[in-house]
Amino acid sequence: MSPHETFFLTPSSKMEQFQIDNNPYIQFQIKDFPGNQELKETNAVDIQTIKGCGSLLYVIDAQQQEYEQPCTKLRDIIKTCHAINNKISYDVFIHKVDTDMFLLDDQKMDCLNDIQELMKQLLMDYNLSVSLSFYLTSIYDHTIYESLSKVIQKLLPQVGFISAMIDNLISNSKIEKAFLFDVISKIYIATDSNPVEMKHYEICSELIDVLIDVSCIYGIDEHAGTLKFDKESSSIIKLNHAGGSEEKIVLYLREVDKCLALVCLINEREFHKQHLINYNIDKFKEGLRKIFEAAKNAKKLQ
Amino acid sequence: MQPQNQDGEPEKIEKVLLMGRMSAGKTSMRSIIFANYLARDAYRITFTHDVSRSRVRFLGNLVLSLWDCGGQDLFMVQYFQSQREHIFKNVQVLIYVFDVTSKDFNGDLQYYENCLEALTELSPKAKIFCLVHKMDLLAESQREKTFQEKRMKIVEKTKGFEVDCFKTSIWDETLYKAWSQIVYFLLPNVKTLEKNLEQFCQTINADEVVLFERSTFLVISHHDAKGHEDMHRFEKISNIIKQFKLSCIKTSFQFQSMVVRNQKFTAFIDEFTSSTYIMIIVSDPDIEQEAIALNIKATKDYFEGIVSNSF
Repeated sequence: MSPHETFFLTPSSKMEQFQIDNNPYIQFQIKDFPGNQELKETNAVDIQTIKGCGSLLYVIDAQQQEYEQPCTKLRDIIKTCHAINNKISYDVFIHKVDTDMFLLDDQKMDCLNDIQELMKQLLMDYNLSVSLSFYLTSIYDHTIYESLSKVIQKLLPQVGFISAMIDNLISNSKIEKAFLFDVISKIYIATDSNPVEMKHYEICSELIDVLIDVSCIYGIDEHAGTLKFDKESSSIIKLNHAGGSEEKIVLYLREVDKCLALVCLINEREFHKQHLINYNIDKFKEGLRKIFEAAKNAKKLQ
Repeated sequence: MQPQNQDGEPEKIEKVLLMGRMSAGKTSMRSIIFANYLARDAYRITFTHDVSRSRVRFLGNLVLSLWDCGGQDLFMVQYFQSQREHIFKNVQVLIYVFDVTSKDFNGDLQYYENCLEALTELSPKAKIFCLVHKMDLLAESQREKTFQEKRMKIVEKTKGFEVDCFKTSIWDETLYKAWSQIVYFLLPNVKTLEKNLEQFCQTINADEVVLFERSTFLVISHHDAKGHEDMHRFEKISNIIKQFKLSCIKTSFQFQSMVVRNQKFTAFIDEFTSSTYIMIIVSDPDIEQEAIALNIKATKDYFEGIVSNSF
């Protein structure tokens, strides 16, 4: 769905569930609660939900300048949930920071600080010590994907190992930055330990769009509807830096598992050793499979 | 005297009139095709005052002089009276835009007739394209029927000229399709280009070869050896690349070339002549990527000659 179509969405009237299982190893369930529904510690279904919950995502409309009410509500939710399950991570999306109210970055930061301060106060009054993460988001740019990526990463125990592996890969192949993407949701599961530049994430996720769109035109076979993202899926895009610099950047995408793609940013000077990079990515692929297998076995043992 | 470009070579300037009543969407579509606008940013555009002229360099020495004529009734009256000669003389192409949701279609037709009348007098050889625009505002099932109805009426009113009608929307590939056809009409040497592309396509054993104009990504020419089913594929590709180019600008990169593949195909999109991009689709897994890249390089100069000697 494109951001503009969301205009036609009606308010949710009841809780809806979504199963995300694009890759057999990365699965989770999203429960979408309507704004007016409350979680009660007396309701057995709610208790079950809270017990199985890994992350609680709370969305605050940044356009309403009155934050007291949504924050109080969040405090109540945290109070209820914390009593039942103290392992939940709480993520707050300060949403819709795309309107005229937030033209400057300072305005966004002010809003973030206000809400952060308020939440801290509210939680302290109740003596609740939980950690909250805050994100500024909008559906009109990549912030929503980026933020959701971070939420999901916290839920996956393997992420630390995968990141370490990517670190290894990029330092040995002279890659500048690499992301491991879920190609359907465009959420990134892991990246190397260098800081993430928003523009790198943006351009990589655009590359996935291009790959899927072009494959939909030329890459489908007689049995229509089969997966357009397959074992041979790959893409190389060459980009110049705007600003007239001689340096060129190569975006290199390779399939590494079902619905998972590794997207690398490589300086063109290093790209002539593509066969070596390929070999290293093959090794990475192997490692990735082993990590996922191990996680699966660990789950069985539990 | 013939106008010249910086290098002293003769230029061919084609005058293209873009007309239609107010808020039909003329400026929006012009901005999307020629100025790299995204469809969703088009709502920022306000009405065009009088005539907004722009020049678009197209394929080497072909220059489109695009006259975007504001559609407010007040201006329209002026076009037909005091500015009549200024506007309607030496016109090669008239693009008339109808708003499909217009409540006053007969009024729109009246203005259209006035335009034709002025053209009969001042540029009797002009070619007419009618775009029935904003199709996205109709329900899918209604589109074809409504379009045919409008088309009948338009053709009926068009006397003494040839007219092509298109249904368009800025939200999908139809807009690219229509404009590609318009550009196709303006290129005199298209047949030679097509023949050469066909030969190139056969030589390198490709499924398909497509030539795009560099700045707009409109399709100029193509050869299809395999018979692909999707009729709108080029316009889709244009859209995909253009979207990607825009993201590149936002992230301060510049698009240069790409290779996309899966088990079924490999697609190459690369800079070709100074005014074009080429796309090559290959499904034979035995053809090496490097061979294609080399072939593109080897034929560049030859095609450069054909494209720039188009007139």
